[in-house]
Amino acid sequence: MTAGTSDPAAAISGVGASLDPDASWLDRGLALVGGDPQEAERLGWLQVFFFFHVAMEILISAPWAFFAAPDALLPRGAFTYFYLPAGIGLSLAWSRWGSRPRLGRTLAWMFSVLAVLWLFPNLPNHLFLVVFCLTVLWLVDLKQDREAMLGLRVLRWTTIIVFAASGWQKVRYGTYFHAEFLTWAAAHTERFAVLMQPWIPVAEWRRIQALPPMGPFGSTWWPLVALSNGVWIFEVAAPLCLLHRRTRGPAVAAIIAFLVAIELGAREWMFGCVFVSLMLLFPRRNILPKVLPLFLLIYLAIFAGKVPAALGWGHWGFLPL
Amino acid sequence: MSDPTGTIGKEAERRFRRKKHGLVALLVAFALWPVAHGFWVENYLVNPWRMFGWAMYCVPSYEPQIRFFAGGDGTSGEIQFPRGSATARLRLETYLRQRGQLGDLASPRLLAAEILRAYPSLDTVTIAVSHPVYSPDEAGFRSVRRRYDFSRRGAGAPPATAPPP
Repeated sequence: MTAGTSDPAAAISGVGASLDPDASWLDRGLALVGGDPQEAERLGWLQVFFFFHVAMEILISAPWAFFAAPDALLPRGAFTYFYLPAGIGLSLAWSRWGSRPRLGRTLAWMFSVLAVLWLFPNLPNHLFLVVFCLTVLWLVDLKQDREAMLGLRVLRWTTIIVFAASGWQKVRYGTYFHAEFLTWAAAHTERFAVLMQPWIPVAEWRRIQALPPMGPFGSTWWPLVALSNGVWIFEVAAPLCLLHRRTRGPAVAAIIAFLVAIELGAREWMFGCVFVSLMLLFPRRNILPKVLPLFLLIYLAIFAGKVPAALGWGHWGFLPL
Repeated sequence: MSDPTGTIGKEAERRFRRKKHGLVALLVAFALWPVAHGFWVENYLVNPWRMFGWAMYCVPSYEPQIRFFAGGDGTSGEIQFPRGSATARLRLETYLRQRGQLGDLASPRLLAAEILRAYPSLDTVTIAVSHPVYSPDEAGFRSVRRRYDFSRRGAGAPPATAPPP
């Protein structure tokens, strides 16, 4: 595997595809995000985590409150929220211990697609992202080096697209230039208020809290305006740093730190776990298996915070939701 | 197994190339979707936070308000949505949730059918939906209203008429 080869198969699997003058523009474009067969080995971990995510997402969305009220009429299809995760679990078990692993994974993927269709339109964006990634992983054969690497590169590009798109959308809607969104969030959402009140001066905080419900929103206090503009600039610029080998490592660390900071306010822990796991496709060292137990704990906390409360058993969660 | 003519290798190569092109096409569609999403948001009041446009935390979130009026002209007095049955309540909840996400793409046809069933004396019903939409020019919300007129015609659910702009 060397740079400068004209063999298209080697071009896709070679680290030097972006340097190869004979490689097609498609191969060169894909190779911009780097990746080698060794780095692609982590895709198996990601696949299992994403199947687990879909199962948990649909299980948490189940109409638990109806099961707690014995006289309530169960909504139509209430048990589908249990059939689908069970289907994913059994299919994965079959792919692990059965005689036809590929068929098992195909069934698990089909159950995941059904989960999206079942929840539509009430589904979070990250569930769509997860099922999109599972589709990519289903289409490639992870046992073949060059296919696994193709999958890795497509998923790295997917991550870049999502992050950059969220930055560009902030520019498009124009709600970050004068901190319009942040002032609305501070005034109307408790989660952001808790995070922002400690460092905003009292006078400015009082002004923000007194903003009319329909607006106009915004601030002239420069640190808040700078922070607001910093958010979209970072979301647009950081993905570009993922395209260069030298800046990739710092960019991964910065984006993960940024996500953690965002989640302190947004508290969308599942999205946080999904996106951090996608970011962990970039570093050369495979640390994804090491952080998966932490993600498992977070999902358990989300389940404990939502389901017992819906069943009327009190709040068991240990994570602010 | 030997492959002196290289047929198996060539076929595998072709298959791989097809797969690569398919995945790149999927990626391009994925990258272009946020642009299409903006079109749906602007023209059909689809919620920017939803439908995978990656525009979460871009605009303040909102919930649409819904009101019901007797008579097709929408001036004959406000009526209450019949909340007597669990099905009707579920329909209203489901609709409000869908409306908040899909905007104009969610038709209130089933709600109209529920009202006409509960009020046998009514021939027509008007459903008015008010969407607070964020306007960057005003740095705040403005209200966009949609009106849907339904009449009792034929069996089953009444047909929806096009909402006035």
